[in-house]
Amino acid sequence: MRKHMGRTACLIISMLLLLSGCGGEGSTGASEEFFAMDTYMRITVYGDDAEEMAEEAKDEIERIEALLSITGESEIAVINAEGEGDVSDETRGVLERAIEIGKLTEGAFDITIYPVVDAWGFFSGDYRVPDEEEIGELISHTGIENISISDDNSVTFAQQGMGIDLGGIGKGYAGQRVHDLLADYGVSSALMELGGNVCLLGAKPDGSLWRVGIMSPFDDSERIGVIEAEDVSIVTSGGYQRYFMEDGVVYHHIIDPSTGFPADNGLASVTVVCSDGLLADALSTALFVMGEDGACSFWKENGGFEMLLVTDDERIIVSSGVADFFQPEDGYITEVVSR
Amino acid sequence: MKLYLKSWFWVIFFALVCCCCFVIYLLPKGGNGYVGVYQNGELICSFDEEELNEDRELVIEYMGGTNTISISEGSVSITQASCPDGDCVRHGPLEPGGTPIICLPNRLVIKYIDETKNDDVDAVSGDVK
Repeated sequence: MRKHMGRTACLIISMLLLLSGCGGEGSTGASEEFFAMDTYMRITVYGDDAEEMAEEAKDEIERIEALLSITGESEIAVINAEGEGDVSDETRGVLERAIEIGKLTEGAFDITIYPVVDAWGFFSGDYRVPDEEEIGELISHTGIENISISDDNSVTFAQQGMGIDLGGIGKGYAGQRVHDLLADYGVSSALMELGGNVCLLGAKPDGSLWRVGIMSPFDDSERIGVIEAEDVSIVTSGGYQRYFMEDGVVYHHIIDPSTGFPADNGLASVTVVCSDGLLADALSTALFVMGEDGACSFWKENGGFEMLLVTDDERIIVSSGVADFFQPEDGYITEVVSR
Repeated sequence: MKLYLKSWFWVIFFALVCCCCFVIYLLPKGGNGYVGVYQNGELICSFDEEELNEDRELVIEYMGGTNTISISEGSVSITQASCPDGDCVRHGPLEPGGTPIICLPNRLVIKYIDETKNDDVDAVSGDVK
């Protein structure tokens, strides 16, 4: 009789275990969806206290936005308005990284391009095509060499009419900060979707790799493929993300700092995979500006990231470190670039 | 012989339980797909398949700004926006599996939700600026 009861108990436990697995994920997540940093964001946290952690993540992003935004009373907005200002250690750190990446990319990433982007109307939404004379005048007030940061965190511009925009790294930095914050709290699985920037904390709750689709720059209802990854940021930049048309010509938002006009170097989009979210964000813009040859040379000369380039003629070029983790959609053929 | 039969009984019983679990797993976990309209992260209205077949226009207000949502021949689009960039109008009709329609100035998101569909990706990089 006792033996029979034991068997029945085993069976009931087995059934419960099986039924508990029927939910698919095996772990529930909590999401926060909100507008911040001029985009739409969703943060999903898995594990214990997921709801509280997702709220913490949202608060952290709003805190960073208040620090780095070009609007409101942020430290950056004050510097742009006054031509100088004091910054916190955190803002100083972000500015120094931006300047460092600007030097590394030989100006392809340039936070001082702000007045030129503003003239095109990409901040206000009042789009217009500035003439070459205006662009020439504005571009003479750019260049990271014209920013000075003193030991007491005072930032000054060498010329009048300058401005800085951290939009090219703000979301990447925010994603990385949230990643690190959640990791410090002991969260082992989270997905941050910050307006097209994807930041992954750990692997999925079931231990498998996250599957991140890469948007097609040619059709907004299609993807060019999927990257499987864990604990990295995956950032895509492309002219298709924000643009306007005038007299039948498309003008997109990624301005080439060397010309002041939308970058037109043969690339439709650039995806960067990197464990440093800020670097991923900055490089996705910089490589887009460099074009195919420049981006491939830069990747060969510098380590620490992987890339996926989509050319205007619909070729996909992937760096060797991510090639095995990229599954292209049917119809796309990839070329692998190796060091 | 009695023990032999009993063992088979349990094996069959266990197999049946596994089958039941598999069927439960495959069952849809919600209703059909629908279009959700969110303002500042809150669902303010939704349209199921039947409602999408009734052509109409809706004006959504937010802090003095407006968006006109048009439902025509089963598809949803924004046909007018008070904001200067008009990105949401240029997006065109919402497509299942496509990018959501987003109006940043008016904090409006229109997206297709299909809880019965298991998407093959967890996120999409580059879908929104």
